[in-house]
Amino acid sequence: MSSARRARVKMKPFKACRNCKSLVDREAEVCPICKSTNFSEDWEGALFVVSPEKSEVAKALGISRPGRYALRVR
Amino acid sequence: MSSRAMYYAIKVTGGREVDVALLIESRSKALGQEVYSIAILPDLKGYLVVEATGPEAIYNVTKELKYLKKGAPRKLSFSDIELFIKPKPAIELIKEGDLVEVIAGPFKGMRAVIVSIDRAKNDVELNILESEFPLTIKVPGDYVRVVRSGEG
Repeated sequence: MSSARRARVKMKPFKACRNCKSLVDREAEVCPICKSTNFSEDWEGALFVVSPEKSEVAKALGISRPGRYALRVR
Repeated sequence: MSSRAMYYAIKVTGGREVDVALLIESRSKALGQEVYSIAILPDLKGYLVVEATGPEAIYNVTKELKYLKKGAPRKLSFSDIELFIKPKPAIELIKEGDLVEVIAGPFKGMRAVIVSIDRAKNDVELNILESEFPLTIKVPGDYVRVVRSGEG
């Protein structure tokens, strides 16, 4: 159990789409937003947008739909 | 006034930022709280920035939350977090001589060395290392990821 727990702590729960920067489940094969298949495990920072129409941060980044996004994708 | 977004930095256990952000996200939806976004800033371990209407919304969504550290949420201004959220163009981080991995296009997955950089056109010239003959190609700056810096 301890090894499973350690693995969970080490691994990031999401992977990021290199095209639209959205964070998707690790199992997903196609990005649900832009249908791209180009994913990256190497991302930093995240923005969870709840209300894109009211959020200044989402506006500054040009995000118009609620969801989870990475701030830097490599 | 009440609909204007304010930013609050919340201290959490280092490494648990994503877990706490997911909890706050689901709580704010379930409780109908006026939380607009939750940001995990790169280079700022142990903190979350929550954008909300006011301190009461922050209090409601973080009440009795796991991995939360003691202390009142700190108020921030947009200019404080602007530097963190605006991404730098990828080409700014690349130097000549860097070992890179091509992450898109027909040479995806191959390793290469940067030969020259054209910042105006956002292009980089690469020497593909995995080809059998010397192969120099030009690709957009966002097609490469730095694996190791070349000089120092």
